[in-house]
Amino acid sequence: MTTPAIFSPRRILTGLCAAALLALCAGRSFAGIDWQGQGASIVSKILANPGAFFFEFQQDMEATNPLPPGKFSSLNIGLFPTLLPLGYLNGSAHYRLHPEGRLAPGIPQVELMGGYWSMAWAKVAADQSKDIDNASFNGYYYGIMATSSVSPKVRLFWGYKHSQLKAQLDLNKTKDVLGVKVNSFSTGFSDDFFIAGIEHPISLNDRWTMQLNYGVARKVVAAKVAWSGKYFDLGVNVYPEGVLVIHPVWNFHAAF
Amino acid sequence: MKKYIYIIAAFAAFLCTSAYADDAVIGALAGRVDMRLDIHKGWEPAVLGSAIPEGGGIRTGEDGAAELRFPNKSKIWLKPNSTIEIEQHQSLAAKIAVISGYIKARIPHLRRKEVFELRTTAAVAAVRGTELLLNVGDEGVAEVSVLYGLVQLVYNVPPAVGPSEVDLTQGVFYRFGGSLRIPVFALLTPEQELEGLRDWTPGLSRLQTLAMIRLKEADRLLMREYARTAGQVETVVQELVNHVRDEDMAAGRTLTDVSGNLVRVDQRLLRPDAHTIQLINMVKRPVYDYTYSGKQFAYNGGSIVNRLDSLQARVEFNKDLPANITEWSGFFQSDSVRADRATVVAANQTDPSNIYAIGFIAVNPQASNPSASNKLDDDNKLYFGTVDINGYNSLANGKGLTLLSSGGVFNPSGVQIAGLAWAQKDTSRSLITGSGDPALSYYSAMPYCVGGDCTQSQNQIWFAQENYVIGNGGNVRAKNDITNSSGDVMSIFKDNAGQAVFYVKNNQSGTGIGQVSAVDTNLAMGIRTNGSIAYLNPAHTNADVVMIPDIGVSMIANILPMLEKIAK
Repeated sequence: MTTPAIFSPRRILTGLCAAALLALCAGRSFAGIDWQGQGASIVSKILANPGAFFFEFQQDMEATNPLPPGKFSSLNIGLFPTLLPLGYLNGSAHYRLHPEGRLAPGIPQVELMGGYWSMAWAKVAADQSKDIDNASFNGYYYGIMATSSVSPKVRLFWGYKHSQLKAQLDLNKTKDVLGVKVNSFSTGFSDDFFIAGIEHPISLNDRWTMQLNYGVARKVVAAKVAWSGKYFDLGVNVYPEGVLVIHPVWNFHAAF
Repeated sequence: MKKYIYIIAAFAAFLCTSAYADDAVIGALAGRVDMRLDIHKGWEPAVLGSAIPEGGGIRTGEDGAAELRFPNKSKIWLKPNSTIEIEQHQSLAAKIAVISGYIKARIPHLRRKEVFELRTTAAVAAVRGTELLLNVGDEGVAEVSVLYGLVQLVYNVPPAVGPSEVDLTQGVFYRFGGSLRIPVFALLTPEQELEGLRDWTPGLSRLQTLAMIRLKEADRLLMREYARTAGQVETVVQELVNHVRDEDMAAGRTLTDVSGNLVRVDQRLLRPDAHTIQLINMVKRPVYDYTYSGKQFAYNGGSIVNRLDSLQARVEFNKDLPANITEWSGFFQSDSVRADRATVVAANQTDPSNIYAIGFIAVNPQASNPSASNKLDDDNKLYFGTVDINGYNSLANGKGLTLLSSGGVFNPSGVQIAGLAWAQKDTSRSLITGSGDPALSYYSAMPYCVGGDCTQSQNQIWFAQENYVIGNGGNVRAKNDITNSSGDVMSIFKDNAGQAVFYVKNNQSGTGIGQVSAVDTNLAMGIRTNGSIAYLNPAHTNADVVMIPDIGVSMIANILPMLEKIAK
């Protein structure tokens, strides 16, 4: 059995060709894009709702792909854009409760999932800042997922997850807001998501997954498309109402 | 003693018989199919419904096919020229030897500790909740195609290369054994997948098989249709998102103010002309009275029905704004864009012919003098009075007003705006402020002099305001309600609003806030302007505006650079 290398010459060549093609296609339209305006627009949206902005990155590290057939658990680490450059120290795990069809035909694979992250840069920024005593920025998620096969190489999965982001800022100087002295801020962002997706293996260790996450509280959708190898996921997460609509994502995973 | 021996023997016999499961039976057959009931007996023609006991076997001829059913609902289908033997078949264990040929096995459900194994000369495949194909060639080379579930393959003799145990998951093809030195491990090809999904029931005609395949193909088409529909739904959702974005510049909410009055707030961000934007915050109350116990300044207006207050802000730029709001951020990044004029007017518009208005007008001096500083400046002037709708519009427009030293104001046509006066900030008196810490309430009174003449005591006035952060139920929020919440910013905004109550009051005797609040004499204040007297506040009233942050948030999200420009 041979395992395809992540950075095999063929893959690198394909990637370069795709990038070149994209550049060629987009070259003419790039000139007409108001990059400064786009940047300003992004900053505006972040300032309007910073929690939502960082919450989208939390979703990038949330491992919501099902366990491969025959595996009972997995560990996942978000690498980009979570660990780098945002400093999200993170980890997620899946644990299978029931393999597909074990108890009775038709009963899907059922697994639990959960994870936690904490932003390292928040502590660094607090240490560097003269005005901030302490800053913590973290989040977690947990959920359950069911997966069933519609054919040997196509599985459908659906599930639920609860995601919570928390931010705490302690100031060493009080700020005056409407005459009121404020020396700490605590805020957060949370939502409950329904997940539905499809998985299709393309080789022994590689598979494509596409999924749609629907946030009940905010009534927003997010789409995730990912290629999963033996140890890494490469994908694109799309947040139609997000600040950065498209997030390229690179995550590590190990299934057992 | 014999009796006990018989009982024990009978019990042992019962235990032994109970360990055996019911036999597998031939559920279907077609063409030539042989069976044997024991390995030591000869082959005989198979009969539909015959039981094949442990030690028995079944084989198919060149044109034969058979289906073997097990009591645990497992099934094995045999293609032509296939032979299997039931080596073991007890209640918790079944071992089937696949001697040769091509079989399909479906083992849907096993009890705890139950084992179902398929053996070839090279390996044993343990299966559970599995559907697979097993093809054993004449030279001992075997091929496993796993359709569903997991197959654990254990070599009888460890191979020269590779592990001695292999887990085969669904969708995988594995060729091993015989003279094959290195096993072949691959994903199922579409042809192999289709072969596995085909109905293997013996005796099905080619047409029937094709019909089944077509049915499956129809299922696939249904899946494709589902995917296409899902794509369309996503498009519709995206269009809705765009629509909602368009509507970001309109908002409304019904809530209760600090005095318990029911309030309806409607906000609009408008563009009265190509280079001007206008924010209008309309506040409607069926019944109004300012009875809040924590108020700082007297309100003597009494109970009012159908009260209407407003706050409008208008900003005029030196260039036409882009038609599409999504382009505004980029537009305002340009250094050549300049805010030339801004007006903010709070008003009580309950009586259109007697509008109590308080406003500020800021002008950018660079608009008329390119070498001047690029900064909006209100010149510390306050405009206030009781005016009709034309006077109100002149103030809100903020253009071409002429200020008289007496305190009167002329409109651009040179006609005095009845009831409107202007005042200059008085630096000789101090600002009066206080807050409700930790309650989010704040009051202030700024000293002004009508017509800029502070020498006359009757010209000394105060621009007073009370500000509250309130919940939708009218309760004044405390610091922790906002700063120590697990909710997100948007949720906080949706649950809260601001209330601002504006007055212009005469300077009173006393000290501190007593100069403003002790006696509410703003009725008596009259300003002599150009020979006539303008009564500034005949109804003892105020402008009481409740503001929701919705459009403000949208403005931050969409046009922050513009806000920065105005802030300059």
